[in-house]
Amino acid sequence: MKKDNVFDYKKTKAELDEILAWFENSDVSLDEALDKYKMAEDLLKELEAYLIDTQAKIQQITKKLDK
Amino acid sequence: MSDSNLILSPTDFVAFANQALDYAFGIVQIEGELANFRISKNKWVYFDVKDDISKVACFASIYAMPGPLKDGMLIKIAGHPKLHPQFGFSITVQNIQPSGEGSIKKAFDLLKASLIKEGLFELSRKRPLIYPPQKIALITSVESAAYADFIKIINARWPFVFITVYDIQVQGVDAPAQVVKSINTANLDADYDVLVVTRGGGSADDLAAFNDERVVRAIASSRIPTLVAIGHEIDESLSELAADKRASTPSNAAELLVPNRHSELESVLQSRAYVNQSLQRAIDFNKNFVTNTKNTFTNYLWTILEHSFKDLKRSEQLLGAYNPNNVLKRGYSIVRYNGKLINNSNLVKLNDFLNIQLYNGGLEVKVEKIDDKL
Repeated sequence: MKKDNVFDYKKTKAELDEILAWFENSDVSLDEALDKYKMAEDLLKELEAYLIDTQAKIQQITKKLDK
Repeated sequence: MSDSNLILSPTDFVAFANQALDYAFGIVQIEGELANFRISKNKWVYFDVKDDISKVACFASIYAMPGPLKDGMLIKIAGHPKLHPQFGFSITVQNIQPSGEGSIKKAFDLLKASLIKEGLFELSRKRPLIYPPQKIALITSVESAAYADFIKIINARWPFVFITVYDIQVQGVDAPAQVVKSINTANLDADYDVLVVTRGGGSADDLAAFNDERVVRAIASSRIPTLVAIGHEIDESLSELAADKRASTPSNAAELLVPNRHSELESVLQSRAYVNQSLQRAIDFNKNFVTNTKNTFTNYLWTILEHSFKDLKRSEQLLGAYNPNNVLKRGYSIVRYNGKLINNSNLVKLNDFLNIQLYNGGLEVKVEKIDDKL
C-alpha cells in the first residue's frame, strides 16, 4: 500500500485548522476569504466522510469481537 | 591293603590314606572351639578345632571365611579330611560358621565393627530405589513363606512389575555361596531396577548366612540397588546394613517397593479433579481478560471517534462564522476586471466591462463614469 494514497486525517485536519486560523486574522480580503472558505468546506466534507467511514469500521470490529 | 607284607613308599601311603579318607568320610562336619587361628600371606588360614581331649588341624582359603574369627569361639566346619605329603593330617575346610549363640554374636560384632570401620554401612553409600520399579530380581527360597508373602503383597498392590526369582537355600552351609552367586548373576543378567534379598525369621544360626562377610560384601558391591529384608522386625543382619534400603520383613519389603494401586488411582483422580479446576479457573480468568480487553479496546476507539466528531463540529461552526457569503448577503459585492479584484477606481477605465459578484448571481457592467472621490 502506498502511503501517499492513504487519506491522512491528521494532516487534513491541520490544513483545516490553518484556514480557520487564517480567518481569525483581521486583514483577510473578502475575495480570498471566498476561496479559502470553499477549500475549508471541501476539507470539512472529506474529514466528515472519513469519520463516517471509520465509524462503520469500528462497528464492524465491535461486531467481530462480540462473536 | 590286607596283605601285611605290603611295603609302601610314604608317597604311596599318603595317596592310599587320602583315598580311604575320601571313601570313608567325603565331607566331614566338626563342631568345636577355635584355636591357634592365624592367617598366612593374607591368603591361607590355619587353625585347630578342639575340645577337652582332642584337636584337629584345619586349613582353608581366606575366601571361605564368614568374617573375622577369634580363638575361643565355637565354630562349625565342613571339609575334606586330608593327609598332606609334608605337613601331615588336616581338614581342608570349605565352610566355616560360628556356632552357638555366643559365638555367632561375637562373630557378628567383630565383622560389624570391621565393616563399620571400612565405611561399608555409610549412609552416603546408599542409593535411592526406583519407585515403583519395573523389573525386580528376587533372591530367596521359593519354598519359603517369605517368598509367598512378598509375591502376595506385590500382586495385591502393584501387579504391573516383572519379577525374576533366583531360588536359593537361605540357610545351611551352602547358603552364603548361593546368595553371592545369585547376586553376581543378577547383576550380569539384566537391567533390574532393584535387587531384593529376603528370608523369613529364624534362629541366629538360621540367619547366619546373611551375616556372612562374603554375602555382605556382595550386597554392598551390587551394581543394582538393593533392598534386604531378613527375619523379623527385631532381627538385624549385616546384609541389611550393607543394603541401600532395609525392610523389616519380606511383606514390608514389598510394601516399600511398590505403591498401592487403589490409593494411587484415588490420588490420580484427585489430581485430575484439581487439574480440571485449575484449568477452568485459568480459562475463566483468560476469558474475562479477553472480554475486558475487547471492551477497553472498542471503548477507546469509540471515544476517539466521538472526540473527532465533536472537534470537527466545532471547526464546522467556526467556519460558518467566517462564511464570507454572509457579507455578500448583507448587500456587499466583489468587483473584478479580467478576473482581478478591483478595490480602487484608478484600476479601471471608461468603457471597461467589470464583473460584479453578488450573494445570489452576478452582473457584467460597463464603466461609464469614474469618480475617484466617491
